[in-house]
Amino acid sequence: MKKMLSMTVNGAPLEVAVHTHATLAEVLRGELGLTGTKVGCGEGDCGACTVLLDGEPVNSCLVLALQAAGRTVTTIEGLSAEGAAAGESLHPVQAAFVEAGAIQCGFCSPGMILSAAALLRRCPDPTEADVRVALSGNLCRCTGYQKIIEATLAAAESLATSHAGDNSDREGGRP
Amino acid sequence: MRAARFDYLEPRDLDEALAALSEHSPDAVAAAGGTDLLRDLRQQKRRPSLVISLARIPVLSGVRSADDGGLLVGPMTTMAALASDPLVADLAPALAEAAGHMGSPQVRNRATIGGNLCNARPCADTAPPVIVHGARLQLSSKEGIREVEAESFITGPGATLREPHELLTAIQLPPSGVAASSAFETLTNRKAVEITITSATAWLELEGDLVKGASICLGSVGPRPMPGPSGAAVLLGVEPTPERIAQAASATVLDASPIDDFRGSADYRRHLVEVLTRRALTRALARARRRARGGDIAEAQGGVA
Ligand SMILES: Cc1cc2nc3c(=O)[nH]c(=O)nc-3n(C[C@H](O)[C@H](O)[C@H](O)COP(=O)(O)OP(=O)(O)OC[C@H]3O[C@@H](n4cnc5c(N)ncnc54)[C@H](O)[C@@H]3O)c2cc1C
Ligand code: FES
Ligand code: FES
Repeated sequence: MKKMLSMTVNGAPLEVAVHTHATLAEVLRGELGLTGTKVGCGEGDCGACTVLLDGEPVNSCLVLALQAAGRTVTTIEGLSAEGAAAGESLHPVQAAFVEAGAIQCGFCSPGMILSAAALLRRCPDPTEADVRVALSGNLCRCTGYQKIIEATLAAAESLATSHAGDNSDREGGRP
Repeated sequence: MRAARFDYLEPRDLDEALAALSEHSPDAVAAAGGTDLLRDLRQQKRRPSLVISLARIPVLSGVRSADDGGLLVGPMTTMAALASDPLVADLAPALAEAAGHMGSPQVRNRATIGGNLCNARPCADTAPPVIVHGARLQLSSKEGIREVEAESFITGPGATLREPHELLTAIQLPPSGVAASSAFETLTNRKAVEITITSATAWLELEGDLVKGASICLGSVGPRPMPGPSGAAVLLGVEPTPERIAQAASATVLDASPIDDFRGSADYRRHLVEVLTRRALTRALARARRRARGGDIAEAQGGVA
């Protein structure tokens, strides 16, 4: 059975017909071609499918697509687009991951980066412990995590520098 | 495996949800955060003809003070919201701790307390805090509302007193005495995304130097959240010295009936019951004393906290 779903994905409102049993991950990847969102376990354990739902990280494999009706979804493609809008090729968190060597095979990276970006919006100056908690629902089979944590802390610094003297850039953050 | 076909409804108010549930029961299921339900649907452990989302019914989410000074917790309140709610932290800190520990940040942003209680696993982390605080659960159907004790709600693995045409519509925590508090202790293999091997939750109320009320509840050591009356009995009416707390913790082991599984042996779990109960009682006591002192100060200042 299919139903119409209206939601906002990466800033653009859209409508798409989805199976009632389709997960948000399936619709993002299959219907909308946003394959940056990965599906590892399909059960909430690995975090590869992490997207932001109204700004908060969730496992898109555990959300029925129809549960996203009327809500805002941000995928890794949306984060890159924010970077592009600021005249860079990548979002600062993505850039920090590249710079720190926090990406090997890259399968976990979209989810990791979205969890990290959500943390930095909520808490611009996190401690290492804050970062570890925020990333605790994202598994990486390659890097050993240390570089990912360093990258997130480095991103916090670079965002702080780029935001210095610019209070207008609070778009997408919590009210 | 894919989920079997079902229809999907997202009612805007409770009456509409209850009417749909009653019309289609037992083939209709409620969807809260979906963190348990989606797995069951995909594995076809459940094959409902209708899924009713509770996400857009405002009265079902959030925490507020009740008229009697207790707390009214909506079943759709997420773990993330419970873990950061100041009222919950003050009046039922064990619940805030349990909610803040479970799953991962992503799971906590979706998982609700109502889903956790209705799914009724022996490891459901919010059940013991709700039980030690003596909560009552409100069950609603088209026919009306009834209330049951949280302690009797979960009857076995996955089984509750809820009828298929009923929804859990509120978790009512009674007012907390000025000298009462609680604490939650758990052990998991990793710090995140792990199922509890054993948990212990304690609630204590003091009167002067003596224990006026005590309640203990254990997770993952029996077919349902297991009350710990033997340990509580040791403490009632006496001064809660470290020795008495240790005695109460070892008495609590009798109340557990753990099994061996891949997360831990029954023997190991019995050991954990003792250690975690002792820690939970010790922290609940420290908090109750702190609250009692806070209350004294407020009274001395002529106000009520
Ligand atoms: C990766 C992962 C880690 C997890 N870790 C933990 C953990 O550490 N501790 C723990 O306790 N749990 C854990 N869980 C299990 C799960 O997240 C919790 O049980 C959660 O609280 C369920 O809530 P939900 O809102 O997602 O419920 P749903 O999945 O939406 O619903 C669960 C069940 O309850 C019913 N239901 C929901 N709300 C109501 C209502 N108001 N009235 C009547 N019926 C209702 C549904 O019909 C369904 O049968 C984990 C799950 C995952 C995927
Ligand atoms: S694919 Fe969703 S958590 Fe693993
Ligand atoms: S880089 Fe390969 S899984 Fe993380």
